[in-house]
Amino acid sequence: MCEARAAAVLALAGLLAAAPVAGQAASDYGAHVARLHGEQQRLLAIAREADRYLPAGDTVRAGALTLIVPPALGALARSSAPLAWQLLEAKFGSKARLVAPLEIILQQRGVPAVSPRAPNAVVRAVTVPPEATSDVVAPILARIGAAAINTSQDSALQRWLPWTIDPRPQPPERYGEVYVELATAPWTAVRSCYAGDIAACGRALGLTVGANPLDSWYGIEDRRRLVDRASATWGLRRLPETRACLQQGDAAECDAALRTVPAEFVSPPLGGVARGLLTDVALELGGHGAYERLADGRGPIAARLVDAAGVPTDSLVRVWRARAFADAPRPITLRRAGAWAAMVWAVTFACLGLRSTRWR
Amino acid sequence: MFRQMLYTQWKWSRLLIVAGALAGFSIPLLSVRPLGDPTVAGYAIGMVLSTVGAYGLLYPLLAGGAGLMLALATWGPDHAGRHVYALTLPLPRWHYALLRFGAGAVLLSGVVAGVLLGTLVAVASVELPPGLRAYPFALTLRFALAAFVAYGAFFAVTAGTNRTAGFILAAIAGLVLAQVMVSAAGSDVGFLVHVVARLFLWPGPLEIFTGRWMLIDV
Repeated sequence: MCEARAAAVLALAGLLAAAPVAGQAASDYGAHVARLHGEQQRLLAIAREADRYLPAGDTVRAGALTLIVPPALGALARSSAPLAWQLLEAKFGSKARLVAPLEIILQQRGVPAVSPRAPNAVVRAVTVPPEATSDVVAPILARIGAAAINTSQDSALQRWLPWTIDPRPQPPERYGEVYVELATAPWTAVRSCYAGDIAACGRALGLTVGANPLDSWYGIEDRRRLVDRASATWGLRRLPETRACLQQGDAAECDAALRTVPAEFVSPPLGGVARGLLTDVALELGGHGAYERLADGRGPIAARLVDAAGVPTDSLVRVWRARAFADAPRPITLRRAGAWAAMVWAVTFACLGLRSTRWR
Repeated sequence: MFRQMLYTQWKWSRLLIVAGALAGFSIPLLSVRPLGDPTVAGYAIGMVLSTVGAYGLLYPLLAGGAGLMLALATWGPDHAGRHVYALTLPLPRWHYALLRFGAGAVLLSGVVAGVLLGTLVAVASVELPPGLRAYPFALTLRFALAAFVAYGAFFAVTAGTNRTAGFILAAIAGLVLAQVMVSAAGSDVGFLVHVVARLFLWPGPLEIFTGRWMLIDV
């Protein structure tokens, strides 16, 4: 199964790589996409056919989580699946059941591969190392399940949150990344947020709602920088307004160039990690049912986060910001105790040298 | 006596010290080069930090290398002269070794001074974007401590006989070999990892070498 899928993916990647990427009209693109889609379906059919010749595995279920495993991995699957399901249920509540269409296939080097049970199941395969225990495998299963649950989010939430809500606690380094972004990003709202302006944090995170996100999230002085940074991504280079904006710094021309960008393409100044951690904080503060409230909510993202967290936006952002500052990376990892320890070790080594017996 | 000892050690190791000081002076200057480009400094601060971090790996290497080379240079001529010079002096062995250690430590400060000067010049030569700070003194202090630890360790090894050094090297090689054999036999026992962890993690002697060495950071 794996070889067939890998061949399918490789073939598709080859087609993509070989495809011309510049100078095509929209109709050419459409035809190209249709051809690729047809090719994908053909290759998947080949992969499914190949799957039929693999032996059927054992099915291990915990809640709505389904694992298909070779008999040799049955014990590992039976101990890992309940742990993974607990993690999913704790984070996603009743929405954890959205994992049901997924079949996770466990495989291991040297153990014959098995085929998925349901022909139309969403299949993910995990290769586990020989010495893996349920403590290692369960979080991986939970992460895969979480990714499947995340795909059912509505488009507004997915657009704002380019991040997989993970059942595992986030490591402090993630908050450290946010601190670095807060400290170094050039956008006005981010700089104000770093300085302590909580309302500016809301703008930087894309929580404020306006007619145009550009006006809500980016200051006048950010416009030229935004054009400069994103002109290639948004295809603004060909516009005369872009040239006038970049060459003469004309704010009106910068605005004119940016107005050609559809609103849904504009991202908030702070990146996906920052927004993901804000969501994580909201779910943590909200406790039981927080994810359901977030996922089922409608309306502005800020309101949905408030619903999920059960606290006002300001309080939520304040907690998020405090965590980022608490986990700020330390540039020079030299503690007072570490410095003393180094001195003691150096002197100890020197004393060993003094005790040498070269000429006795 | 100490001045004479210092002078002779300076003569033996001045090329090493000058080379170390030059290297220590250059690393900070090279690490801040991206900040000289206004486009990069204003837009790609992440790249600036990555470059500073990548060059940061060179500080512990230089500290370890300087400690090693200076320790070798400190005892090299004594070993070559079969310790006749030392034996002619009216000193006990410990006193002589202490003088040698002190002289070497003073000379090591030349390399440290190179790093300090380099960091100060590097920081003064660029305009830091908002949100970034420079840490020339903390970095130099850490470099000095790391170099001092390395010098002390290698001084202790080189102060003994070649046989002592051989024993130490053989012990290290034996550990690595034993680990390779144990792993080859299919065992999961990984004692070498624990030994390395004891050395490099708190409160191990080489903990000072680990972690981030950032001249410029948030």
